[in-house]
Amino acid sequence: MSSSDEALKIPAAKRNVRAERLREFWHYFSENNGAVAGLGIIVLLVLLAVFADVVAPHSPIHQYRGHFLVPPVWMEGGSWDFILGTDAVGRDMLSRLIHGARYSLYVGTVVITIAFSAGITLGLIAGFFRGTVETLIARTMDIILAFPAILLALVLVTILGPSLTNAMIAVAVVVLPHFVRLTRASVVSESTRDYVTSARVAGARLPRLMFVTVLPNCMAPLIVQATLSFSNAILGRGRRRVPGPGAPTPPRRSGAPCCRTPASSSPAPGGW
Amino acid sequence: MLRFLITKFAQMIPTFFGITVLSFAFIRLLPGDPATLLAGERGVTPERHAELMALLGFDKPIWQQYLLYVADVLQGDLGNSLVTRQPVLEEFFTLFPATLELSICAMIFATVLGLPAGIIAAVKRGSWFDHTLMGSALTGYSMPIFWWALILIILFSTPPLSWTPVSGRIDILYFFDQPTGFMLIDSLLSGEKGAFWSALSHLVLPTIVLGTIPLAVIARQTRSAMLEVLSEDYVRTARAKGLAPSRVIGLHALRNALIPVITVIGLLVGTLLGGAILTETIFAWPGIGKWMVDSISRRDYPSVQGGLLLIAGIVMIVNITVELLYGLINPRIRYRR
Amino acid sequence: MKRTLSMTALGLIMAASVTAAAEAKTLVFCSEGSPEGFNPSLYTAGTTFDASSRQVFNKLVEFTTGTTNIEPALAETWDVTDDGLEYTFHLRKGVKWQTTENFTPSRDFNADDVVFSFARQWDKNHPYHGVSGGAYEYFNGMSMPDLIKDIVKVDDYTVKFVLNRPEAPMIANLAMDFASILSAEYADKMMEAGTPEKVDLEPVGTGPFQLVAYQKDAVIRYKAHPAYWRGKADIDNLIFAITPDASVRYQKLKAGECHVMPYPNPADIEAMKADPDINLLQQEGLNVGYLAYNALKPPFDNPAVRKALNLAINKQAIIDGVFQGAGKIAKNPIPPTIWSYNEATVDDAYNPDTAKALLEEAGVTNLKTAIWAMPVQRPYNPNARRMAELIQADWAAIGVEAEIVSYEWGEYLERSKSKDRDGAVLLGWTGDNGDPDNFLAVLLGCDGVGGSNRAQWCYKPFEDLIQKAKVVSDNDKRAELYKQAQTVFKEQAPWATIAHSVVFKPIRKEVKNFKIDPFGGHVFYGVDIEE
Repeated sequence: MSSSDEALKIPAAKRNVRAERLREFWHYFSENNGAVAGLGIIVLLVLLAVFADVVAPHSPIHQYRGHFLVPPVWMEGGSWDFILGTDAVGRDMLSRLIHGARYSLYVGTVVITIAFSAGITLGLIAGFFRGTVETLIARTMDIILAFPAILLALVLVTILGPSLTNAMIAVAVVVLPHFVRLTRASVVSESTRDYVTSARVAGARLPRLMFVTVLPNCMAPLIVQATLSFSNAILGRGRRRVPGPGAPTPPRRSGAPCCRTPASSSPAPGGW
Repeated sequence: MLRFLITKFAQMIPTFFGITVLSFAFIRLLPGDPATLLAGERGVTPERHAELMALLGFDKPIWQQYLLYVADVLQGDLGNSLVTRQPVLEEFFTLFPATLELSICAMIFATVLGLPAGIIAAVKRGSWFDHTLMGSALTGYSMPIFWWALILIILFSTPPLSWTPVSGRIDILYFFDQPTGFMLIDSLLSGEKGAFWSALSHLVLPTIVLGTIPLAVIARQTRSAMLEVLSEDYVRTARAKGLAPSRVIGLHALRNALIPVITVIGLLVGTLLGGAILTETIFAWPGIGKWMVDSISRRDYPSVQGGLLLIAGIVMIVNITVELLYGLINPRIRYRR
Repeated sequence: MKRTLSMTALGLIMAASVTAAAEAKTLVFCSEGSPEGFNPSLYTAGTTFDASSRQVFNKLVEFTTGTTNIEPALAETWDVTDDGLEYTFHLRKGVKWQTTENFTPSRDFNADDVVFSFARQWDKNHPYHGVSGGAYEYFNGMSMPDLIKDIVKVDDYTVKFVLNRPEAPMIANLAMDFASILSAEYADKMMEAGTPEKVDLEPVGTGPFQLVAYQKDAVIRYKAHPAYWRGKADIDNLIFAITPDASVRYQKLKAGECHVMPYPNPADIEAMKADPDINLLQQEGLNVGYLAYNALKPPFDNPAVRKALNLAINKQAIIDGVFQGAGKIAKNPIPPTIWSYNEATVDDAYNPDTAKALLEEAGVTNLKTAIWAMPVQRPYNPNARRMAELIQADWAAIGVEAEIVSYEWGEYLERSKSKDRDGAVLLGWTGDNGDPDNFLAVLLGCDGVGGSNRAQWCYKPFEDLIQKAKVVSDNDKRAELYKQAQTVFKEQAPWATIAHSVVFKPIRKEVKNFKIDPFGGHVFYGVDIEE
């Protein structure tokens, strides 16, 4: 459906149209087996995360001192007590994974929400306002892109103080330029199209043009980027395993990210 | 067009200025300094520490240090590394060709595979090809680089297969001058037998590893952009008019789908040219990513500042190229200032 | 940075054709990183020493490869006056300098070279003092500037060091990497040519290998020094293939792309043991990993509290979980391979009940503190975070709540020095010269408070003992004093001594006579390859 139609809709009919659309969406959605399977997995993960305390067989932080590095159950020496085995200090892997899901989903959602909304807003502004504003935004994004993620993360956490929230803000800043640039590129390309001109002629004001007329047509690449960045944020891309003096890890106090495997818990994206 | 280029390059000047301020401030904001890191576990007494900092020229007031730095930069002098004592510019440009060579290969790999894959997936939406492709793209994107690289090395580089070398840019026994810094070119120039193949085989795994994420991004973005465009009226019109499907896809749809794809390619190239720390570390690839991170962790102020300035310049040039391409693909988008 | 020293001549020897490579014996070492430079006196990193002092240079005295014993090198003999203030070295004759592309020596090694090498670091007015940054951190760290009163050339083959005070570890200090001997003639030539920094980048030494070419982050090439005074090395070419990642180094070793690799991943050790192509050498490291309390901060100023916390730590669990068996419980602050190690020390046996009782006795309840875990792998601690987690759980069992703190390495070193630091810090030490003074005085002496003494512990009886041991020249007496110092240390418990790690060195089975260097270095003179 094209947005030029939507711009002409009468507000009174809006509610009905929404419900209708939702039904239509679900109809098409449920026809796609892949999409339904995906939804199922997400629901399952969310449930696991929410009910981690009940579902997990062990505490994620309790160290079973007699059981270091127990292999998973299907390997020789494994047992049903520790289905996926234990880590080097005797913590149950399965329980750590289940509890980790909570943290992962939280981090992913928060980071993407921040980066997505801020990125779209900045991108729209850059695409619609020309001149100094656009230059300012574009060049700032260039600077963020040029800075290695590790330095940005280190500095932001140094300034803001080490905490999970600040680490998430740092990650959001690092992925921000992608959303800004994608939005701006789509806006630039879309605003040459006829429907935008007609909306303009019809007297649509700028905010409406930005968010109602143009934005929905820019969403496709942004949604793809958001899904991909979600895994980026969770993975904490850029976790380094450099030996010797020179392995930088963003400063971080324990406690908050207690429940992830120790090898992959520092949030500093951008490296590959 | 020329005016466009001139204004774009003029805009780079204040950006560079911003980078000098930020890089200068950021690296100094981090606790710890070059003198402390030099001493390591041993530690230094406060007196010796002050002496060392004076020796390195960091005893002057901070604004004075900054002005001196900017004055040097304006004369094209990025200073010397505190660790190796080599000019930063020279170090950067001995390492940068390796990064460039690998980035180009990775992007070619990602684009050549990702673009057609995305188009086919969009055209055959809902087919098993589409599902498989999108599934593997997501898997590829979520792959922890380190693990992925190590798996490939263990599978293909060690006995019994031993198809590709484990790491490095060329077999260690080859020893020739490297005028360009691009191993593929230098190995040809050297005239050594087998050198080019050796260099090429060393590129295979790093290219795949570094290209995996771009490949996933490009494939997915292409597919989504194509789907969008294929449902547009003008494409339907073109089809209805009886134009051959390949022509519809190639000429009408692709052209308009390319804008977001080119944007992500530009973003990816910019990111890759800033250095790929993990891939470089794993494959012992002497590029600038690892160099930057080492410089940061050693608080090698001049290297960090100089490196950031140069990387920013490269990122901006990539951006300008991308904007030029927008106009080329869709002439209705005017060059904007 | 790419530097090509003598491309054409050596290129022919080393290059390309497999037949040529098979005839000349080439040993490839997968080193872990790029050297900072090629003058060992300017730097402190082991990687730099591996690339410079341990292959290219000699010292007046050296450690016998694989041990901490001193043997004569460029100095054949030496005398010490009874007051311990004058050291006279009689130098070896007929020692040849290496010939490189831009330097052909006109004379053998002599006293001028010794005076130059030390005067450069010691004399602030020396023309070379400020070259290449002029920070001689090891020379300073070993208190040489205060210690040395004068360096005198007596004749062409005799040099005298005059000291301000007696210093028992002096000879051991001179065997360290910073004391490498550089060519004075080469230095003069480069100064004349206006390129003094070349001395530090394109080294000329008397050692077994000479630098051919270096490409930053990629490869370092050496060839055997044909006129080496101990006899030419068994291998003709030595190549360092710089490979930063430990797992990849192992894969390279398996694939035959290198012969020797340093610092294996603890997780790979089992597979290496099983691999028929690989010999896994192992040796107890000259190191100690410890947890240092802050002795200036109550309640940790009370030895009983520190002792109680020590008793609560299950060190065996740490050895199993963190070192995966590749370590040994530490009871003294010095490793057992160092002379004067006090065998009689009784370790704090793991006993949470006694620990609890001790804490109550000291009137400490609801203790909240922090454990600092460094972010990097060090020889004495393969995984500090994991170690901290174990200690955290142990302490929780006696009611002590500890938060784990970690900073990026540079920040960690800086912040952990602070006198009002909260919590106990995990750190460690690898010996420089095999002398107990190098552990006890550096890490626990009063001078180190606010610096290398992370426990901020200055205790008069201990300080008196180590200061006395520093000036006594009789070795048995020194050993006795150090043993007493270790007893005092154990009573006062400024640290929890955790472990001495075992060092593993995987080499391919065709490599012969490789010896593990207790100081963590890699020495390739004497190593051979059997096809």
